Order: sequence, then structure tokens, then C-alpha cells
Amino acid sequence: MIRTLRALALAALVWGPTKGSQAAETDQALLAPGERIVGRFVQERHFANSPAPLRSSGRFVLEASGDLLWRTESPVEGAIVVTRAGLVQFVDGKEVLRLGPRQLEVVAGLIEFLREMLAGRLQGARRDESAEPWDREIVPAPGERAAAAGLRRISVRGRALAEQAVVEKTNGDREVLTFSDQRIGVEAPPAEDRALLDMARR
Amino acid sequence: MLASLAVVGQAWRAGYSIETDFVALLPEVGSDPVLRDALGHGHESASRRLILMASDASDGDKACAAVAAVAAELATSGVARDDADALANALPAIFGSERAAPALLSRVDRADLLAGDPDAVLKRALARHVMPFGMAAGGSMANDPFLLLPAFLAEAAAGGGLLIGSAQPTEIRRDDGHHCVVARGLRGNPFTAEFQGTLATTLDRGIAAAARTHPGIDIKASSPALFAAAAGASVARELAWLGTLALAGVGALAFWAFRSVGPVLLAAFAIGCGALAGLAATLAAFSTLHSFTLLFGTTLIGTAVDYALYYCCARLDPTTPTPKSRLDAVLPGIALGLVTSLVGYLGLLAVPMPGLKQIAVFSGAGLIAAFLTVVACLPRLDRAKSVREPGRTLALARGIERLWHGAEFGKGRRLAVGALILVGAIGAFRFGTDDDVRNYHRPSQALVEQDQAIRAVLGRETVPILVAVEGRDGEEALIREEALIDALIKAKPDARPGAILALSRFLPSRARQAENARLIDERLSGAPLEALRRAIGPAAGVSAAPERDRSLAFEDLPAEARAGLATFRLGEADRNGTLVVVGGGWTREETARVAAGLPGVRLVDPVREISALFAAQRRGALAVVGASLAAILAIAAFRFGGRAALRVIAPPAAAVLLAPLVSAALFGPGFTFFDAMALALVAALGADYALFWAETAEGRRPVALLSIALASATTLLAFGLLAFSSVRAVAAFGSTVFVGIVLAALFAPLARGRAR
Repeated sequence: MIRTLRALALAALVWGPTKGSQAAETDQALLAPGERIVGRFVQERHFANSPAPLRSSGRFVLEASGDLLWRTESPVEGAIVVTRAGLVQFVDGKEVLRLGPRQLEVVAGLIEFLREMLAGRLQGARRDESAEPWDREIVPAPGERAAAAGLRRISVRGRALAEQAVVEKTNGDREVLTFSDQRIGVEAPPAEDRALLDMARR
Repeated sequence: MLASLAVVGQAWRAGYSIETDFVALLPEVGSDPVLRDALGHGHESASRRLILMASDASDGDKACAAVAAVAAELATSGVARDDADALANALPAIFGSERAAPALLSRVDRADLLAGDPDAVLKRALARHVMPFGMAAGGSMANDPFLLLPAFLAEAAAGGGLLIGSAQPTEIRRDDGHHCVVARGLRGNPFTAEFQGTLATTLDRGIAAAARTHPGIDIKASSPALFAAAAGASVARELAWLGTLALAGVGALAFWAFRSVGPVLLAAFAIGCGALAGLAATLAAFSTLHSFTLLFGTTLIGTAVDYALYYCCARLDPTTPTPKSRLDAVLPGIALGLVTSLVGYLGLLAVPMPGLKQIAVFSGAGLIAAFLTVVACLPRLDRAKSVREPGRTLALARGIERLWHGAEFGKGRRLAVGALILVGAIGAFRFGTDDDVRNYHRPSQALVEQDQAIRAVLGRETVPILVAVEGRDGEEALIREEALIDALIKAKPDARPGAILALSRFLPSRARQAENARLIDERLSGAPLEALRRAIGPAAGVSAAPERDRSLAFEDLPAEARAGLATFRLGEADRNGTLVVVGGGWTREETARVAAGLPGVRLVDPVREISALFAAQRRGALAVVGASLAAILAIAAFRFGGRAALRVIAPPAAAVLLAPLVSAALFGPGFTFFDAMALALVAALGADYALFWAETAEGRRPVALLSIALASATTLLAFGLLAFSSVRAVAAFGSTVFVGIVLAALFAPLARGRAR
């Protein structure tokens, strides 16, 4: 039952408005002020016309406020920060792109999904510390924004926290996100991460 | 009248509405289509904007939910667009293009290629490739391996934000609380009373509902439509109480003079018929009806009140005992008055200004109808068959007449003339014009405070800076526009280029596209491309020789994109101009400094341009006043002979000349278009008084003087009271009418001297 509720909550977050009160409400309900979740990721992008994936890796920080820092360390140094004000991309510490919440809805919306997936899964962990392994599959109905964005299916699995998400697109491309070393705490992120978050919030 | 009723009825069924926008009175800007379009697009865009802001002390989500609820109510009611951002509509259409990658470069990619730093471009390309759920798609990478097009479009989409109307509530946190702002585009004409009413009702309903759902939330709104609605409501309230006062005054005056309100009812009937005919003629000739046409037109038709009063005053004359004899006694005077007024209104038609043309048609048709009503109907409706002897009234009239011609008042007359000259001299010293449209009305203080609060949160003006760029053709205009944007960014590197909205940000000039293609070919096709292929592995299926469109033209864009970008194209069929909207970090002064050194670039200042048009309207109205006085002189010369004609024209001419000076002395400087329109009324009525006096036989002069006194008193009550309006435009009109009519009535008896 709890898993069903989690799945419904996740579905509502993914297919609901990109920025809305529910999203922030969930974040704030899950993490006490000052708390954050940190972890590492590996991303593999499988293109339909390519035999080998494009692999990247790095770390992320999800703040109690819902602000997300996604730092790629390989094959190139870069970062994106998602806040309520939108999305900011940094390369070599310099801002190269800033999108409002509505601009380029497809990209911003999908990254919002990433944030909500982490936050939504966290809700389950708090309620049920000894959570069993689980998996979920979400298929957008025709006409939904996710379907219009070219998403065919999202599969998420994990235990206390989300551990892997597979995003399949209608054009045959596929993206696999694997999370590791995740933890919740109040420890401040490194200074350079804080600087990026601050720059994005301005 | 039946035909008029049919025309008005048909227009009513068709749902015509009354325009309240000052600007609709004005002509288009000369023969310059680029400036005309820039003003039109700028005015259209600004006037349809609605900004909502909800604030909460600590809860940004609550504020955003509240503001979204109000916006949803507006959308559901069809009052405001969900999506005010045409550019956002355009982008997906461009994205959806199946074309090979066009040579479009983001500013930062282009700068690095120009600087010979392809590695920086390569690094950003890799970052885009690995961005989660990012820009890369297997199908698009073959011809655009560096993802230059998505980067270009992302940059084009970024930065508009509130400036162009974000449909998404945007939260702004400040020390004084959490604010959430959303912009909407209105879906109706913001200057029609009907739409204003719908907007106000819907907005009130939405805010009340949001306040119930989210207690403690403070919601503010700002829109030119709300200012116009408040101004319209204010004018309506004022006109209601001023009208009541005027009606009571005129009724009391008539009762005092005639011991009956019948003459006032007869006059009102004539005016009503005139207004109906004027309305029908205007609706038949023009597609819209402006509220100022109603105001000025009805005022000018007010001349017909005098016709009715002259007729009714003939009841006091023992020599005109029957309706027919009364009509015979006054007909020459009022017929001459009609002809001279019509000549004046024809002059308005000759001025190339839509506002004056509409007023001319309304007033001309209305005056003819009112005249015909007096001539045809009043004798039939007049039941006062016996001569009335109001005694003291007529005695008073005789006494007043002596003020002008009695030898015993010679010293008093000289003193009065001296005082008038002194006041006129003071007025001449203080006299000045005021064509600044911002001074013509005093906006609602409550709305001003809301607008200021929103501006304070946004940290900038809610009205962006408009720049028109012109070239020999569209290509040159785009090249010049690109030079302008480059110069603006160079002048202020810290500002965000995204705050500049311009066509070239979405569709660069062909010259720039060609240069981009060359830069891509020369600087990215060799080692950088190989490096990219190595970095992303064989994943992308990147072509070794990507195909590229070398020139993307406006016509190549999808229809939705063209529609979204059309607002940036200016000029006639060759579209040789573009509109640049500068927001964010650049001030008007900074933009003006940059624009000053560039060919074909000029700042568009709607306030200045509209004020200049009002100045032209003012001069045009004054020219018409002069022409109508000249026409009256010619008609009087034909009727009375040269010397007598000069004495007939002298009183109204003196009233017209002195009224602005006396008004400046009494009420302060600032002669406006509305004062000039008042002078048109003063000229028409002043000539009417003078002609009526000149046509009056010696024995009927006291009655004639009483007629003129009553006529001028009713005009003062009806229109002079407008001087107390809080709307500057209306007050200016009223005060000049007040002074001018007093002077015209005082001077009218000086027109005597013709031998009948």
C-alpha cells in the first residue's frame, strides 16, 4: 500500500506542473530546514543509432528548499543548479545558460523530475526505515506533457532512496541514472558548491 | 430620427463599444511606417499587460498558489491569456523544424569562435551532451554535434522572464517577505469600458477567492487597463454629480426666468435629437466611437440649447405672441449661427486627425438635427400662446443692457476694461502650453501604490524601452539591430543579454548566418570535431561533415514562429524595420547613449511621441478655431457688410484670444489640446451670441440680452462646472469654456451697430 502511495505521489510529481506548490511542499515536508541529501551519480545515455553509451558521472546535492546542484565531473567539469527561479548551467565556474521555469519546458521539466524523484523517494525512507527493495514504472498517457516531451516510460527502483532510474524516449534513446553514496545530513556542502548555488539563486 | 434610431440600434445589437484610450484620438505618426509600427506594437503590447503579485511574510509557495489561482480565474473567464509570451510559442515551432542545422550560434559560442577559442565551445558542447535529460538526441546530433542550435535557442528563450510575460509564477524573496509575480496578456481591448468592467469584476472575484483560500495573502495588480478603468469610473462619478448640479442649476434658472421648466425640457429635447443624430452619423462613418467624441461632440451640439432658449425667450416679447411669430423673430439669427458653426466643423474635417474628424461628424450632424428640431418641433410643442410678462425679469434685462450702453456706467465700463487688460497681461506673462500626455489625468492613488510596490519587487520599470531600427531593407535592419545589441552588451557587460528582445536573437541577419557558417566550418570542423567524437565515443553517430543550412530566412520559419516574431517586424511590405525591446539592466539614458552613435537606430519614446501628437492636435484645433472665425467673418460680411461684420466678429474673436490668457491668470499655465477644443466651443457660441445680437431689432434688445444671458448661464452650468473635475483634460476644457463663455457673453452686446 505504501509503495502504491509512493508511486502515486511520484507520478503526481512527475506528470504534474513543473513548478508548483506540491513540489516544494513535498521537499519541505521531507527535509528539515538545513538538511540536505548528497550523493553520487552515473549517467549513461544510449542513443538509438549508437552501439555504446555516453557515460558521465559526478555528484549531487538536494537542499531542503528543493534547490538541486548536479555536478558533472567526467568527461567534462560542469554543473547545473535548479531552483524555483529556474535552471542555471555552469561550465568552468561560469554561467553559460539560465532558463526560467517555463522556458524550454521539456529540459527544465525533466530535470525537475529528477529533483522530485529524489525528494519523493526520500519521503518513503522517512516513513519506513526498513524499506524493502522496490521498483516502479510510470508510463505517460497520450496527451500528457511527458508524452509530448517524447518520454515513453520511466522505471525507478531503489530501497531507502532511489537507486536507479531508466528513462526511455519515443525516439529510441534511453538514459540510465544510477545513484550511490547517498546520505542525509546537515553538513554544509563544499564552498565551491555553495558558491554555485548562491550564483544560481541571484 | 427614426433612421438615426435604426443605425444606433443596429450598432448596439452588433455590440459596439466606446473607446477610452487617449491615443485612439490621435493620428498615426506621419508618413513613417517604422515609427508608426513601433509605437503601435509598443502601445499594444504595454496596454495589454497585466501583472499580478501575491505576497506573504514567510511562505513563497502560498503566494505562488494564490497568484496562480487569480490567474486561473482570469483565464477561465477568458479575460487574460494563459500564455502572453509569443516568443515562447515560437520556439517549439523552431525546434520542430526538420531542416538541417542552421548556422545559428549563441552569443557565447560565437564570441569564443571569433576569439579563436574552439576549445571553450567544445567544453560547453560536452556539458550539454551530459546534461541530465539534456539537449542531445540521437537523431539531431549527426548534423549538429556541438549542439549549437539548442544552445542558440536556449539563449534566445532565456532572460525574457517577466519582461515578456512569464506564464509561470515567479517567486522573489526579499527582506520584506516572499513575493510571487506572474504576467498575463489581456484578451480584450483594455480601453473599452465593457472589457474594463469584465476585467475588474473577474479580478475582484479571483482575488477574493484567493484571499479566502489563502488567508493573510496580499494580492496586487497593475495594468494600464486597470488605470483606464479607474479613470473611467472616476469621470463617470464626477459627471454624475456635476451633471446633477448642472441640471438643478439650469432648472432653477429656467424657473426663475420663465416660471416654468418647459423651456428647459424643450431645449433638452432638441439636444437629445441632436445627440442621437450625431451618434448615428458617427457610427455610420467610423468603426469606433471615442468617449471624447461623445464629450466634445455633445458639448458642441450644446450650441443648439441656445437656439431653443432664444426661441423660448421670445415668449417674453409682447411683439411675438404666437409660436410662429417667435420662430420668425429668432430664425435669421439662429440660422446664421448654424451656418457659421457648420463652417467651423467642416474645418475640423480638413485636419488630418481622426479625433477631430469624428468630433466634426458628430457635431455637424447633431447640430443640424438639433436646429431642425427647434425649427420644426418647438413651435408645435409650444403651448404658451399668450404673452407672459415676467416683470422683474425683463426689467432686470433692461437694466443689464444699460451696463453696456448707458452713459452712467461709462466709468465702470472703463474700469472693467482696464481690469480685463491687467488680468490678460498677467495671463500673457504666465501663459504656457502643456502637451505632456502624462499630465492629462491623475491616476488612482491606490493603483499607483500597487504599481509602485510591484516595481519595487521587480526592481525595474514595468514598461520596457523601445528602440526602432531601420534599414533600406529587412536585411540591413537586422544587421543594424545586431550592431545595436552588440554595442549595448559592450557598454554594459554585466547586464543580461536575455533582457533584450529582438528579431535577430531568433533570426540573425543572413550576413551573420554566413559568418557563423564560416566560423563553424573553419574553427570546429577539424580537430575540435574529432575531439568531440573521441570524448563522447561512437555514441552520437556524429557526421564527419555535418549538413547545414547556410541561410535561414523569416519565410522559412514555421507559421507559428512567424506569428510569434511578427511583432518585431516594422514597416510596410518590405518590412525594413525592426523593434528592439530593451529591459533588465539598461536604463533609457544608457540605451539612448548607445543608440545615438548608430545609423538607423532611434529610441521610441511613446510618451514623447504621443505628447507631440497632442501638440499637433492642439495646433490643428487652434487653426480650425481661426479658420472658423474667418469663415464667420466672411458670412457676416456677406450678410451685414464689411464694417459691421468686423464688429460682429470682434466679440467672439476677443473672447477666443483673451480666454486662454485669463484662464492662465486665474488657473495657472498649461494650455492643452482640450483648452483648444474649448475655444472651438467659445468661438461657435460667441459668434452665435454676437450674430443673434446683431440680428436683433433695437426694440427686442433686452429680450435678446436675456436670451444670451440665459444661454451662457446654461452653458456655464453644463460645461463650465467641468472645471472642477479631477481629470486634468476635462478640467482644462471646463475652465476655458467657463472663462471663454463669460467673456463671449459680456462682449456680445458690443456687436450692435448694424442697421436692419
